[in-house]
Amino acid sequence: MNLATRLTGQFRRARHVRPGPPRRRSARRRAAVAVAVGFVAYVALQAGLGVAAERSLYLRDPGYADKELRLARQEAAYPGAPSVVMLGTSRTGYGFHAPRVREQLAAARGGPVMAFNFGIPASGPVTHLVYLRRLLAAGHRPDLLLVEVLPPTLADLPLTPDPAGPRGPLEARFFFGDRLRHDELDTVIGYGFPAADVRAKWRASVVTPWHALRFPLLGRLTPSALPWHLRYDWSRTADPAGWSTPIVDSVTPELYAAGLKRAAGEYRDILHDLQPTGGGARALADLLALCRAERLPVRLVLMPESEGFRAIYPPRTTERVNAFLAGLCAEYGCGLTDARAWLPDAAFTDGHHQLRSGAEAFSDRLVREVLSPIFGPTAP
Amino acid sequence: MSLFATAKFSSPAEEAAYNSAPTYFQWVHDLLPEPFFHTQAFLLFFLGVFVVYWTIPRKWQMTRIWLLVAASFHFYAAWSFELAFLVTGTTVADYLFGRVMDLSKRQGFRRAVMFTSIAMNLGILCYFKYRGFFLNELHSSLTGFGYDPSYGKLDLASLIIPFGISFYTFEAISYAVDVYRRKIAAETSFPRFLLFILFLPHLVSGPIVRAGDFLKQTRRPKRWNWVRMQVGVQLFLMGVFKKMAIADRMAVFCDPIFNEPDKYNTGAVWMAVLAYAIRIYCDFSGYSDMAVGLAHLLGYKLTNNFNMPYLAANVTEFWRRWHISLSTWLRDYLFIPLGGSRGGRWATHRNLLITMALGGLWHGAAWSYLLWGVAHGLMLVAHKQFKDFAVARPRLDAALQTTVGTGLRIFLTFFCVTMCWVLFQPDFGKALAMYERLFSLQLGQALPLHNRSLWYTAAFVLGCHLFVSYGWWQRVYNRAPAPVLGVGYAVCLCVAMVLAPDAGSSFIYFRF
Repeated sequence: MNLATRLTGQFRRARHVRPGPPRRRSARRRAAVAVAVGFVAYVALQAGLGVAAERSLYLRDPGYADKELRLARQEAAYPGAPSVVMLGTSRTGYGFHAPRVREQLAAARGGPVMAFNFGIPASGPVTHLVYLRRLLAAGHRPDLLLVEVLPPTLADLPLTPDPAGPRGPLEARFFFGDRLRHDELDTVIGYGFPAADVRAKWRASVVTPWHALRFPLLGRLTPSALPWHLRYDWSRTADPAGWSTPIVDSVTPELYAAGLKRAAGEYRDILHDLQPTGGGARALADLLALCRAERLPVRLVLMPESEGFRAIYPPRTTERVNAFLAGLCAEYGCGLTDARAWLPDAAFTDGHHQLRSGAEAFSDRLVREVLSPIFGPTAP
Repeated sequence: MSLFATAKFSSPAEEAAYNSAPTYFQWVHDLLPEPFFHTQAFLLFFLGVFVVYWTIPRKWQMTRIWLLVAASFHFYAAWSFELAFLVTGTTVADYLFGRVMDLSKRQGFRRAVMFTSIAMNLGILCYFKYRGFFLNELHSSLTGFGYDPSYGKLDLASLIIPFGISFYTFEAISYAVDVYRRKIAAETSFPRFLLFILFLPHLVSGPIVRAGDFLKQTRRPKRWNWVRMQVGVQLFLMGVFKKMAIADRMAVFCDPIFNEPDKYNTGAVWMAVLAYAIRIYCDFSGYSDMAVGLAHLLGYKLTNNFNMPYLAANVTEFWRRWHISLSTWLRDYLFIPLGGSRGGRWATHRNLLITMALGGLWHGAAWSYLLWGVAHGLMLVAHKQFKDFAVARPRLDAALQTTVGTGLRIFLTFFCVTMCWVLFQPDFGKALAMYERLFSLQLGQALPLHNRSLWYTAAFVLGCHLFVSYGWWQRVYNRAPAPVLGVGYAVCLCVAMVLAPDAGSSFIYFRF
């Protein structure tokens, strides 16, 4: 026996043999592998979805991503045509009849035009600023940007039932950290969003995204399994131009009164002594500054409200809002369209969300009085 | 970061208790805001206990036991430090009662000590759980007869009931009775006895363990065993899936209807009752699976509490498969001492009705729970009668044993049990309103969600039952490679997370 064989024989004899019959060892090994692989697979699944969600707003913020996808398709369908995009809330979502605007403006102009409705429910100036930055970064540059101003979003309000608790913009109650990318967190926190909550929600969406982003996920796979307010499918409209077609064509006086009462309940306290000096107001100013820096033509729009809804505003609140917006327009050289009194009460479901007839009337007048002069043969 | 959103305190009384607690226990509460196994806070807490536990050398068995006792005490104290001391205090008393019984040979003295232990435990249970109910009923009766009760009605929602009081009270009673009967010797080791009552996996909602089974395990030094770890992880994940993906989802369907049945139409009420049947099974069996799984991870084996009860072909079989630890406890410590089946047919029926009535009352301090128990007692009596009737008729008996016959019996049992679940709530008036809407055509609102996901869930639960009962699961499990099993665990947990609804609900049996 040579030296090599003796040495290897020593090593073979010295190998540790675990106790127990082979079947039990095999069962233990199988169990250990199953648990270990399970742990690794779980971490991999969470990490994978977390990374995917950070890179793709399709998972993280479906309301925005679905609209952006439709916007890209509209731009591709009307290459080179002048474009108008309206950023706003659900008022814009129902009220800005983008296909009608496109057709009428095209007829007035004598050439194709693209119009897109980027209304997102429960949004405000901070949300619009974040979304505008995303759109610009993705290469979307409309020839005219219309930005809805919802007066209650300009003030700082209590964010919890405790009146002595943290204050911030109204939209902070709805626009959470799980819809933001990491580099957007500081932006919203700078406008008064609660820092701890925003960061915690973002962290949860990266560390346990299968739980934190479950509603956007389920909203894509099986929306009917969720209550309507959790579906995140609002932007997946039937209309390719982003307009949310109102579900009903008319409402009874009783339903209208109930809707107005509900809306008044939501906004009366907010409008009672509104000071347009909060994070939302600063975000609106920064949005206009961004448009100026990007040389992006922008116009502010106060959306239509019924007479009953306008009656909720105390006169001093109306004066403050008007003065604030006039100051902004003067500073940033942008126009303001005050459409609050444009429509009769019958055009609304609840005093501030429009029916189809209201959307048509508002859009017609917007084209006639605002957009045609801008996009006519003498368009810039 | 919790896996589901809940309020910090579920009642003003809890908030007041937190504010008055010493700083240390406020800190403990902040670490463990809710005593639910499927929250991130608890999982982190348990991970810490698990790592320290298995790091302790095996020969330091008592150190491990003391660690588990301390962890269990803090788990309870995170919710209420005062009641944690109360539970510990009664456990100390039960330990001493057991030692005293064992030291004496005089049967009369031993019996007196046993009854003292039972009276103490039942007295505390009745004080916390039933005083509000009885005082309010007495108040209603006195005012009904025109007397002034000289006290106001108690707000039952504001009364704090110690978590798990019904469960550990029964464990303490079974211990006292078993020591008296000399079925087991009194435990001499104080920490072992503390662990028997306080062991955190079963502390708040069972299973109700028997002293003989559990204390034996505390004497065996625990060795790390991968197979046991796998079983523990698997059971825990199964429990999480049942709780988050099924029970909490079904709550979205049934809670609105159970809270306000008058607003909903007949179809919605039927769907809600089906959803509740699925919910309560998955909620409680899910919790039990998590508890048994956690116990396995610590090297302990707890009794299995459910065995696919909705596949029972009759009510007697149902109670052999549902909440097994409670039904066996009721059989051994109530039904048999009352005489069991020994005294003839009518005595057996009486004993069954008393046992089930008290079993119903154990679940909650309300007439509806008592009626629920009585209803099950009547069904058990009816089954016994029918069984004798069928056995005397071989052709009928043979027909009932066929596949179709068995299917019909399973369906009928499920239907009867589900109808009884309508009573399983504290408000008898709402139960009556639901029965009215079930059995007469009523207009109203539809279900709050599309019923498609309810049917998918019901089909899934049924499919899983059949998959296991036909032995297919065991075949798949034995043949699947270990990595496939591991990936399956990860997918199961992720799917449970995705399907969890907006706000999780507490476990139904936590109220008991």
